[in-house]
Amino acid sequence: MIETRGLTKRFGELTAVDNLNLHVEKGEIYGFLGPNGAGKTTTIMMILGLLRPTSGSVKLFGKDLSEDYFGIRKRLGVMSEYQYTYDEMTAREYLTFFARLYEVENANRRVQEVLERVGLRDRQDELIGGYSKGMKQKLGLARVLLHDPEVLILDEPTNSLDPYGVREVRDILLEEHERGRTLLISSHLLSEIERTCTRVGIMNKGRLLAENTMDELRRRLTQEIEIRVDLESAPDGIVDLLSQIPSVVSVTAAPTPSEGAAVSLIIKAKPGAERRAEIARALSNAGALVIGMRTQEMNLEEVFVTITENNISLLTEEGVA
Amino acid sequence: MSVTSQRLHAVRLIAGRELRSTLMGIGIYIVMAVSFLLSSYFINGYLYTIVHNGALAMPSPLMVPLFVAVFVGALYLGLLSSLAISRERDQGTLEVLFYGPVDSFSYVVGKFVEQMAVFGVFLLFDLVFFAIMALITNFGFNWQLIALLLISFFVAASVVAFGIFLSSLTRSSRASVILFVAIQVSFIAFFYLYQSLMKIPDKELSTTMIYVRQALDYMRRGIEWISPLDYLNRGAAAVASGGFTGFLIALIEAVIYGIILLAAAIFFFNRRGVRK
Repeated sequence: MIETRGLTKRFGELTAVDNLNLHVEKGEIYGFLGPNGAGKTTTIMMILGLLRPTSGSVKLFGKDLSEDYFGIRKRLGVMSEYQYTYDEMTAREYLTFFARLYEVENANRRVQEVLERVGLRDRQDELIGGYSKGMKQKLGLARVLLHDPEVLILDEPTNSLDPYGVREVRDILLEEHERGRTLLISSHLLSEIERTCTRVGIMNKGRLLAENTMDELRRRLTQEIEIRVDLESAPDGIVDLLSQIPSVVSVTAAPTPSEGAAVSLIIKAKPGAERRAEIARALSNAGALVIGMRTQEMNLEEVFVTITENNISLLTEEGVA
Repeated sequence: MSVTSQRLHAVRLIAGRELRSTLMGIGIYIVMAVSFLLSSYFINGYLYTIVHNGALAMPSPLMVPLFVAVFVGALYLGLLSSLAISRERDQGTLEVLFYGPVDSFSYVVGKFVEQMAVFGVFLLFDLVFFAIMALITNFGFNWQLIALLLISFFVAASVVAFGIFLSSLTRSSRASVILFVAIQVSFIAFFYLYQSLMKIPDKELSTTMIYVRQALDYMRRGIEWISPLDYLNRGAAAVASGGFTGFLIALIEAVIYGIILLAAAIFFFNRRGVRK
């Protein structure tokens, strides 16, 4: 649905986007991540044709924007980080204007539908100038949904929203995904991306450092996994026994055992799906009674920090970036 | 749906929204009131002459007051047009429009159509005002006034195109207004400097000053084609002289000037982009 090839943008000496190859497939929610100044917005602006690339190309729905300018635009729904609205209009007038611009059938009915969906129906006749930031954010989302676009490009869609509003917007985006819509979400709220996105692209200093599913990113970045084991009883020498397993790096007793456990062990091991089974087998053979075992996984925040600041080579060596 | 019909659809909607916004504002009505006050000042002067001298030797006494009203309206629209693009760029709403089915052509032409519709409203009020004035004063509402109203519409188109062109060059509303005012003031200042120099006889000028005056004369000829208000002057002069050919030439000149500036505005708008 969205494809960039060798996309590059230079502003004088500064390379804002460097040889970017991005692929957003039909029906996926693609999380576009990166610290401030990474080049995400510049990339989105080039995808939308609002900024001319220094080199490279963009294809939307398999076409260059110039091939079908108006047709492609009507299939996109775009929301920027800040909501720029005509403050002298009411929400209903504003959405009616855009419904007509996009030539939406039964415009009035559709306007009411989207207002209901974002929870602004009761406030539709108020001037937008009097809206809070959160309400404007919802109005922006209503505008995006108005013409039922195939691809939604959203820059910080939960910006300015309270936790309840965040959940509402997340639900709407997931509903759109279930309806087969493709979403490209740029956000700094990593937990939001982690909850909603099927695939993630991480950008830093104009380059796409990683593009993969969350699980795959975690797997590639994890040098050691941490397993916490809770035991009802621990035979003598259990620590030494576990240390002898080749994949185990270290074993230590947790300072505070979990509730109901006599002892809790923190085991650091090399990554692999079979580690838990190996450890469970060894404990069972030693006569220990296991009452709990869980693996600590990296969350997106840890992945993000690792990729952008620390360990990029882990990805590049495997050819991800 | 063809590209042309898509563009026209966008033009119609952009112009309609803007027109509504302008008519709902107070600015246009204040300017109208000012233009009528200025016109009334001239009409009052003529009436005073008649009362004190018993006669007024003018073929069409309402011509100058109407010219003043039209001039004020056109100047206001020029200023408004100079904000047309830069204000929306400042506010960020321009970017939002371009997320959708709007291109630079439809946007610039939409702005132009809106300004012309505003001027149409202006002329309608002028027509009513001067018809009433003609009845009250018995000055007569002749074909010259109609011709002046007609040509002023086309000349206003060139003023609007000039404003939009300036707006396409600048990044902020403030810069647009400053540029528009600075250019108009420069043209007026140049005109008075030129007029003053022309009044001085050759024998009283040094050789250098004669060359300076000649250079200014060449510049004046250039400015005549650049300054949109000069088109209004020429149009009014053509109407006053009563010749149809002169009227037609002034009208065609204004139209060509407007088209060139609009094309230039689209070109520079494309280069500048829509972002703040």
